[in-house]
Amino acid sequence: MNPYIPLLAVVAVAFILPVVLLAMSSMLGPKRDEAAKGDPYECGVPQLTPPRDHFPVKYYLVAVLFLLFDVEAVFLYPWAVVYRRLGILGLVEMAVFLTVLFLGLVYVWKRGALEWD
Amino acid sequence: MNPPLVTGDMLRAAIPFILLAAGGTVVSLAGAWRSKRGALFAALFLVLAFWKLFPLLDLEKGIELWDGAVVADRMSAFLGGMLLLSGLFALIVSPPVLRREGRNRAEYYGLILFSLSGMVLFVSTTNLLVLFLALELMSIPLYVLSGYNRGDDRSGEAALKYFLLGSFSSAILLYGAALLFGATGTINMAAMTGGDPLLATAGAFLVLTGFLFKMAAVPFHMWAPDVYDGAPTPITSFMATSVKIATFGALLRIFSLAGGAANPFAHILTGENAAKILPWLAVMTMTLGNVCALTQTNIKRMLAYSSIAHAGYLLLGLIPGSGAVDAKGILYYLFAYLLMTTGAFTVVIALSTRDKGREVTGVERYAGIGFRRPFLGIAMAVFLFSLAGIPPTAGFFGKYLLFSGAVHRGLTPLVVVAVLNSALSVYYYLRPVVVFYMRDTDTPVRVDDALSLRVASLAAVVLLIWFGCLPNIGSLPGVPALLHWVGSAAAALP
Repeated sequence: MNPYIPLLAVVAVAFILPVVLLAMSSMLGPKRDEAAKGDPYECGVPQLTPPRDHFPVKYYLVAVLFLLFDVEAVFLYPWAVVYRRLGILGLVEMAVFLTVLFLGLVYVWKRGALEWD
Repeated sequence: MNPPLVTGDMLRAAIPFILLAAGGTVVSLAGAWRSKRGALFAALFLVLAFWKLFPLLDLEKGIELWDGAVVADRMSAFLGGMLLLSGLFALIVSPPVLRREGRNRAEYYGLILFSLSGMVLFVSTTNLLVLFLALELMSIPLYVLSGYNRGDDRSGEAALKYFLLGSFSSAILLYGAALLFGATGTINMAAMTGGDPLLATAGAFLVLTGFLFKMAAVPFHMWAPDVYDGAPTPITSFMATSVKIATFGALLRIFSLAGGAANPFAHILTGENAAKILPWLAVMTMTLGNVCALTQTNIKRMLAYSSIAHAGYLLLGLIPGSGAVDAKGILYYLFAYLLMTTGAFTVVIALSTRDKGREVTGVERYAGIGFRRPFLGIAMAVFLFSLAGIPPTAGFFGKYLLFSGAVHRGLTPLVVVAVLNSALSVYYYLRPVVVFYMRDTDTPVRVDDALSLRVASLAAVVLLIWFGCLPNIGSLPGVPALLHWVGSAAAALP
C-alpha cells in the first residue's frame, strides 16, 4: 500500500467535514431576513458618513517627506567613504543627485506641503 | 592609454534621455508656481528630445551609455520616437479635458514626461537592474495619472487597482531578476550563461511574467478594463499605446540578447520551450480580448478589451517558429496601433460628457453623430476600420505583415486562429459606426470642438492612411520609407 494513502484520507476528511457542516447549517438553520441585516455596518451604530470620505493625511505626508530626505543621507555616507576613489565623476554624479533632491524640496515647500494647516 | 570616460558621441546619444527626465523635473516645478502653461513647456522638451533622437536613427552601431547599462542604437531610437509621438498626442489632447474640469495643472504634464523617460530607458537597457528601475519610473507616474480625476470614484478605483497589481507584478519581475542574478552571477542580460538550470529558468519566467502583466496579456489582463475605463481618457490613450510599445520593444531586445543557447532567456523564449508557452499566450490573449469586447456597451471598455486582443496579435510576432522573431512586423504594427488607438480615444474625448462628475462613454449616446459632426464621424470610422484591419489603412498593412511573417515561420494554425479573431473583431468595431450613421435621436449631443482635438484626430487619420497605402512622394516618406526605418531598426539588434 502506498504510504501516502493515510495522508490522502486526512486531506479528504479535512475537506469534507467543513463542507458538510456548512451545508447542514445552511439547510437546517432558521433564516430571517431583515432590512437591518443588509445595512452597512459601522461599530453597531447607524452609519454617519459615507465610507469613501476624505480624511486628513498630514502625518502621512510628513512621514513620506522625512523618509525621502532621510534616504538621501543613507546615500551620502557610503559616497563620502569612497569619495577619493570615485574622483571627479563621483562628485558630479552626487551633485546631480543632490540638485534633483533640492528641486524636490523647493517643490514641496512652494506647494505648501510643509505647512501644517 | 585608457579610452576617454565620456565621448562626444556618448553625450549626444544620452541627451534625449536626460532631456526627458530634466523636462519632467522642470515642468513639475512650474506646477508649484501654479503655471497654466505646463502642456506648452512639456511639449517643448518633448520636441527637443525628438529632434535629438532623430540623428540616432542612422547610427552605424550602438553606443553604450552609463557603463553599458543602456544602449542607444537604431532600435531604441525608433521605439523612442514612437513613444515620444504617443506622449505628444497625450500633451495635445489633454488640455481641453483638464480645462473642462478646472484641473489644468503642470504636474500632470511633468508626470507624463517622467513616465516617458522611464519608457525610453526601458526599451534601451540591457541590464536587469536598470530594467526594473525603468519599469518603476514608467509605472509610478501612470498610477498617479490614472487617479487624476479625484472627484470620480472610478478614477480612484482605477489608480488603486493599477497600483496594487502593478506593484505585485514589479515585485515578481524583481524576484525573477534576483533569481537570475543568483544563478548566473551577472545582471547584464547579454552576458548571462548557464547557472543552475532550474533557478535560471524560474528567474527568466518570472521576469517574463512582469512583462506580460504590463502588456495586459491573458492571464495577467484583469486590471486592464477597469483601469482603462476609470482613468482620464487622455491617460487611457497614453497608457494603452505607450506601455505596449515599451514592453514589446524591451521584449524584442531581450529576445535578441537571448541568442546564445546557454542564456536563461533563450531557454524559455527562443528554445523549444518557447513553443510550449508563447503560442498559448497569444491565442488566449487575442481570443479573450475579442470575445469580451463583443458584449461591451461602454466604448472605453470596448477599446480596453480590443487593446488586449491587439497584444495577442503582437505576441504572434514574438514566436520564433522555424525562423527568428518578427521584429519588423512588430515595429510596424506598433506604429499602426499607436495611431489608430490614440485616434479612437481622441474622438471618445471629443464626444464624452459628464453626468454628476462621472464620465459617460456609452456607445448608444453617439447616435447620429456621423451626420451632425461629419469630420468626427469619418475620423472614428477610419480608426475603427483600421483597428479591424480593413484596407487601405495602416492597421490592415500591419496585420498583413505580422500574419504573413508568421506563415513563413511555419505557424499557419496560429495564423488561422488570428484571422478568425480578426473577423470576430469586425463586429464590435463596426457597431459604433452603425450607431453613428444609422440611428438618430432628438436629444442634442454635446461635442467638444476644441481645436487641439481636431488637429490630433486629423493628424492620426492622415498618418494612418498615408503609412497604410501611399508610396514615397518626392521627399515625403511613405510606406517604403517607414518599412526601411523599421527594417534598419530591427537590423540594429544583435
